[in-house]
Amino acid sequence: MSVPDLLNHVLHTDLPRSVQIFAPELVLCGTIVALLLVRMFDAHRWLPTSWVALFGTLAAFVGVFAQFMYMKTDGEHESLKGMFHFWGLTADGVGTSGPYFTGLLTHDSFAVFFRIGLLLFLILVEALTILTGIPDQDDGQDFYTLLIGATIGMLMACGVNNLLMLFVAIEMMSVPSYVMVGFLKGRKVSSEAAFKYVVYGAGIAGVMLYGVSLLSGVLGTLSFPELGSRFALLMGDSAFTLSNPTAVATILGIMLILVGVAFKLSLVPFHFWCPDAFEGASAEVAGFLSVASKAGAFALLIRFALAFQGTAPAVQTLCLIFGLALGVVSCLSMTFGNLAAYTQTNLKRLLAYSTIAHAGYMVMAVAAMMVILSGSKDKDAAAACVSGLIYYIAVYLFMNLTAFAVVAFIRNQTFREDIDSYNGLATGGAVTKLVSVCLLIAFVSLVGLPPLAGFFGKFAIFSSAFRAGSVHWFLWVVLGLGGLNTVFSLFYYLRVLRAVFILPPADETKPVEIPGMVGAYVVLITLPILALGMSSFMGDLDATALDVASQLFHI
Amino acid sequence: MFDLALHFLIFIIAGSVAFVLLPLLIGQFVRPDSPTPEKVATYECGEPTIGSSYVQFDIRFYVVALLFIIFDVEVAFFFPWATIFGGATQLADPRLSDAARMNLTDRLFDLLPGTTTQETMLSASDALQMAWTGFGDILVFFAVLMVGFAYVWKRGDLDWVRSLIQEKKNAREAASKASA
Amino acid sequence: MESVGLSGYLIVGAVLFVCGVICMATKRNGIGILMGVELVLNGANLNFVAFSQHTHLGLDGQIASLFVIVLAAAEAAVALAIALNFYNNHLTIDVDRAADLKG
Repeated sequence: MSVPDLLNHVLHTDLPRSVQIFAPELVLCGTIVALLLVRMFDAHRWLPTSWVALFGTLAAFVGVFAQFMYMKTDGEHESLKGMFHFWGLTADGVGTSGPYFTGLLTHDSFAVFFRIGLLLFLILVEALTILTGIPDQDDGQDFYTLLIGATIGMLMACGVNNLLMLFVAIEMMSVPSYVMVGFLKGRKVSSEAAFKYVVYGAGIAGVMLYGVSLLSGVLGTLSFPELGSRFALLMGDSAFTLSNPTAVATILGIMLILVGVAFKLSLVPFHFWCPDAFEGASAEVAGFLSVASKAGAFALLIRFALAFQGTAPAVQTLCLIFGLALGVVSCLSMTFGNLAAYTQTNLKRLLAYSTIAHAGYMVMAVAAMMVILSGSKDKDAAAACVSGLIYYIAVYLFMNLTAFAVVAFIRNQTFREDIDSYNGLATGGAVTKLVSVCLLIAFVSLVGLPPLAGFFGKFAIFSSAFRAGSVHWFLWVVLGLGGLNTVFSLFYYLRVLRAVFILPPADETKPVEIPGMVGAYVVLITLPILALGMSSFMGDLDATALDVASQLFHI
Repeated sequence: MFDLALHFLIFIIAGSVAFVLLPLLIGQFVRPDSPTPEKVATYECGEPTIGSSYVQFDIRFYVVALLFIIFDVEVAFFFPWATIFGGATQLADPRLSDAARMNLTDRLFDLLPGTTTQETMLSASDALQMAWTGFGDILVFFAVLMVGFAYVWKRGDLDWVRSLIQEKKNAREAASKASA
Repeated sequence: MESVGLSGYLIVGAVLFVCGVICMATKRNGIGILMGVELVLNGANLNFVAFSQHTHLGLDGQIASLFVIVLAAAEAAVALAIALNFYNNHLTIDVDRAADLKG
């Protein structure tokens, strides 16, 4: 293509299409600017910044939802025609999946589905902060700017198609989270948590960037779709050995990048920040970090892993090493997270270790996917792995949010977060009883007991690991450890539930009274845990997840 | 080639030494000579120069420095934009000869000289469009940056005096606490 | 004059990376660790620029290094602000003394 044609293509085809797809993110950017302007003109007295943030996020959510429906129905949905028209959706734009912004990001239903989930989660977190009043009136704009900024990074991570964008997306979700962890002013623990998080995170970001530079230099490209083919081309027919400089440099680059992703996922051995950051941060921020940054990082990990597909034997070996490395990390995370959770006395710290363990379960799905891709051409099986992961993340969103929301609400009443302060919680008023039951549902689902949604998520992931075991036996080891860990994890969750339901309350404390509005919110976010396990919604989510995952493999 | 580099090195070193020493020498002759203790003291940004080097600098320096880093480094994004915008505006001139146009197109897109032919060279209207698109991009970028800057300004983080007032308030509170 | 060649740049980049990592691992002062991070980032940046000159990476490498410069500055600013906040609360920036949290 000649230069003028290229220019015309960029200006008249690529740019409008990109803006159309990227519109929800642009709305969020506009919301950030609006937040600053509202505060600048002192309008926050009659127009609370939290409402500006909530409104902007709602608009962005509607935008992504319209994109999703458009892709699902090919723009034929009668009742949504007006919405499609409002967001300017066209068949060439949103209707066609493929790279946009000259190949920096990519658009498909996988990305759109993750974006829907993230924006829904952002709305719920914003509602939670409005209810608990964590940012006060004077610094609300700062808090929501950071929250929305981090979310934009995560939204970008869902569509990453370029090594540079991978780095930018990870940094965009990290940098605001450092500040959010230290947002509680004048609290010693909070500042310490933020300091540890930022020092550790900055170091890891540097290491990851070195990996990006190595990988891009060796393969001579930053673009994801070309990574695998370039690698196959460079390797030629030579076998994958450690004496081959290309193979060594590529593996080193991939490993260094995985270090960065593992840090975001708080996988062992890069998890040290997680318990400290969660204990120091407010429960709302901890809940946001535990779900949203994980979802973004998983989308990114899957995209990065799928960049190395191919039929050449060297690429197959690379896939296998990739998958086995993730399998080892998965074993370590599950085991360590669950064992360390036993001795915790602070509930947020306990949940942090539970988050580490759950990241271990989830990464098992990615490991299984890579192992399956390395051995067989069974794309359906690989898609099943991804769909299991999507289902798990969707359920995990509600489970963890419920747990952290309850911690936040109880903190507002008792000003304590240790497990002892939950003694006899269920003896409180009617709303408190209701909230206790919600906590029970969330915890039982986190353990993964049927018939709650957590069980089906775990089951989907375990069954994909079982299938991958037939390609390489190591995945069966991972699966066995996963099963054992599920049993282990039962005990520490039960310890909290014992405090809530069985132990008597301390004599001098008065029973906890929780406002009705809060109870309604907790019930609202608990209902999906039940619905996704025991109603037809489960089948819907499962079918959509499979559909979305198959698109990723062009089935 | 090596000789040339050596000559450059010698001249640069000699020149830089001369440029430092000469003003000092001239100053020696022309300035009035009335030293006071404050004047002879070595200047160091309002900090006492003698004492442990482990003193804490005034905290206001840090705030200004932090804000400076952010807004300063954003300028880095202007460099790639400037090269493209400059090349595009040059090409937007319809009076350019074809040879010059081909040459400039090569340079703009970082191609080897002679790659561009009559057919693939950038026309004036295309270049104009490219320049305007680039201009719009940078306006949006700069506007967002300015909103951030105005916000920081409005909050008074750039005021030296505000932190002074804050400091006095803190000192007064501490004093009242101590007396109570 | 002969050009230095790709491997020269890569060796300098690798040396910077290793120095930075050692600095991060051994320094107990928070600011010292952040200096190590800057070394690592610059090592990676040097790689990017060298690769852009000597391989097919082309201008992509230079753009990547520009993005890295800006992101590194943003990260450094945030890190220093947090370090300042930490100092105000603890009167030290020694990471080993940060022991209120167990991890």
